[in-house]
Amino acid sequence: MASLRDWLTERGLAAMLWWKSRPGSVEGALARHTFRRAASPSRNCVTVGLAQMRMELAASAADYALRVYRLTRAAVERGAQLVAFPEYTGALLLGLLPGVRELASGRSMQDALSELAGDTQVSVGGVFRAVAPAARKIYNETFSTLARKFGVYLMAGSIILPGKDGLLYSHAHLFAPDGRLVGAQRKLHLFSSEEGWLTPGDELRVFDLPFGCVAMPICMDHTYWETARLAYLAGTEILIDPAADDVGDQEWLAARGVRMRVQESPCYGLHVFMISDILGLHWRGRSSVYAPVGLLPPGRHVLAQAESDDQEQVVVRELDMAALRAFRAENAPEFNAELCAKYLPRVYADYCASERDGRRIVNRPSGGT
Amino acid sequence: MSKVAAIQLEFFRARSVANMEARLAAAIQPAVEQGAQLVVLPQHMGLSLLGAAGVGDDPLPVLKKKGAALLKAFEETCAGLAARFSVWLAPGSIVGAEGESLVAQAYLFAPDGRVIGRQRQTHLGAREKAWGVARGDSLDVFETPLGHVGLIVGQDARYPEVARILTLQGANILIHMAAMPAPFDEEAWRASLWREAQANQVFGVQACLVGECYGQIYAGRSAILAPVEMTEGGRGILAQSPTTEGEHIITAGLDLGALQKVVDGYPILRYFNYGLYAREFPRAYRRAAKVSAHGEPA
Repeated sequence: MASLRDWLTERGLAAMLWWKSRPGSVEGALARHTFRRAASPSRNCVTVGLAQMRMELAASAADYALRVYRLTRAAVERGAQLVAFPEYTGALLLGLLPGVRELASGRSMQDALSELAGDTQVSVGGVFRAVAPAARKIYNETFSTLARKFGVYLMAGSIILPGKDGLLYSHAHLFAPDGRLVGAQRKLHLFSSEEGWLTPGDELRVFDLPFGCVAMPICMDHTYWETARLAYLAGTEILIDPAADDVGDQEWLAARGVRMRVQESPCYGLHVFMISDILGLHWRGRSSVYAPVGLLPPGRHVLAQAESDDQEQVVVRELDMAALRAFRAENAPEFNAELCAKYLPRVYADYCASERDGRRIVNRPSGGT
Repeated sequence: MSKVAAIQLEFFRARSVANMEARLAAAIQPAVEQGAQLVVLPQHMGLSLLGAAGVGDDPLPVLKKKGAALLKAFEETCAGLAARFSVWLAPGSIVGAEGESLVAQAYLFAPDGRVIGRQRQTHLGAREKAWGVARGDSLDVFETPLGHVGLIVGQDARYPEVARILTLQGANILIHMAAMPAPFDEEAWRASLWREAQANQVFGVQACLVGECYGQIYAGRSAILAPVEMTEGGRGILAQSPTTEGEHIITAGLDLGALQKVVDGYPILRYFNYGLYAREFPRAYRRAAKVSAHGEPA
């Protein structure tokens, strides 16, 4: 049974978070600001904006909304009609919790939480769970309001929220120019540090927008070609990778994600990074717009790229959707359906059965599969 | 630790089977002298025999007529070379005939000259399609003392399904017999075996054909690859030919113990979403057949 102190602490925290996320907080913060509306994208052309963001904890709804506003405005003023944010945009709202901002320079999130919690046991998942009701309201209101006021498609990056089953998932959200939620995508492949407190989703979603089909699997999902392949085969033309990565500034390591995916499953790729130096999270990366080799200028590997890997920055680039469709018609992968039917997904099941206690043995004896 | 070599070779039209044997021996010998236990040659190496068969600009009539004999001559020659140098040999690929069908096929020979494995190309390039080559429908892993070897022929490297299937069947060394149309493009190169070595956390040995081969110019930078975490500068390259043209022999050591440490530290394959794949793959690849027909996903 929870102690009286725990009960009072939980009730007090809930009341404080309710107050911080009370209705109208975001609208009020944005009321005095100007909004230039984005032009409507055409079927054959869309201008995309990548909002490379710095992870600085937000103490209030107003603080959060203004940070997202500034990046969105910078992108829209340069013509963006679809603006994409990075992974963990919702995590900025951990700053709503008392004491977290003072601990931001800690060596790790767990260290910070341990210090915050004193003699009580607090897990990373527990903290995201605690802030979730308030974070959900502020995140949704911020991105929905900004999408509506700028008249722009907003891929809001990701937020950790409990599902109806009570488990925590990482969700990316897409808002339409009328502020409506188009849909959400759960992260499908976890990073090792997320194992144990986060649960992978089980559905890949593709959204049919006026300029083309968009999918937004999250960060590690792009390490697996399977994600991009399924998205491509469901019609995806723009593959968004909201990312947060401690090796994003190392070109060869970062190349293992969406940059390679767009070559094997021809799409445009938007790789948008969160930058961080807090809570032991040293995330870097140069947000980039990728395309199949045949649509790149000779000798280049990107259509556009951020100049900095450690600063907030907006990258804007027009995408010729007609050119992509022509390229795909000429260069469509020719799958070996018989081969795929023979091996996929059977080899995954065989492989999993062959692992020893979840460990892959790279030089296992024959007969291992 | 085992030592492997990738040989970047210019295509040549052999005057005879003996001429081809001498030419390949001249390429393999220095690699073996450098200590290589496994030697890899490029795609289309067997087509050099078409010169001996008197082919002009269009090889197809001869392939149809003498394809079976070409296959046999290539196999016997390469078996002899493997035994002569006492080396594991992946001598590249050949287009030949089996029964009524043309096939594009690669090999792995043991140091005693035995054929350890044959691997048919499972996804065809423009040339193979124009010739009516039948694609393979099987991917196999061959066990050697150096590691478990999967063979990737030409265009198959563009399809990540191939390397994944081989890896999940136990391959830890992927060999790519390559022929990349010129001009060389760094990003396209990276999106071949380099990408697969990273995605599957395996070693990669890639030998590229260069020069003119029946109307197509090829360029490439042959490479020996590994996960970025275990290579100097974090580039994923253990050795690479210095230029995209000309002949080069590159060698490197493959340390399976070091590879195990990389996998233990960053266990990518542990986080598969099997439920998603099991539910979606069958219908996605049924749709894929329509993609091939229309150029756009259904």
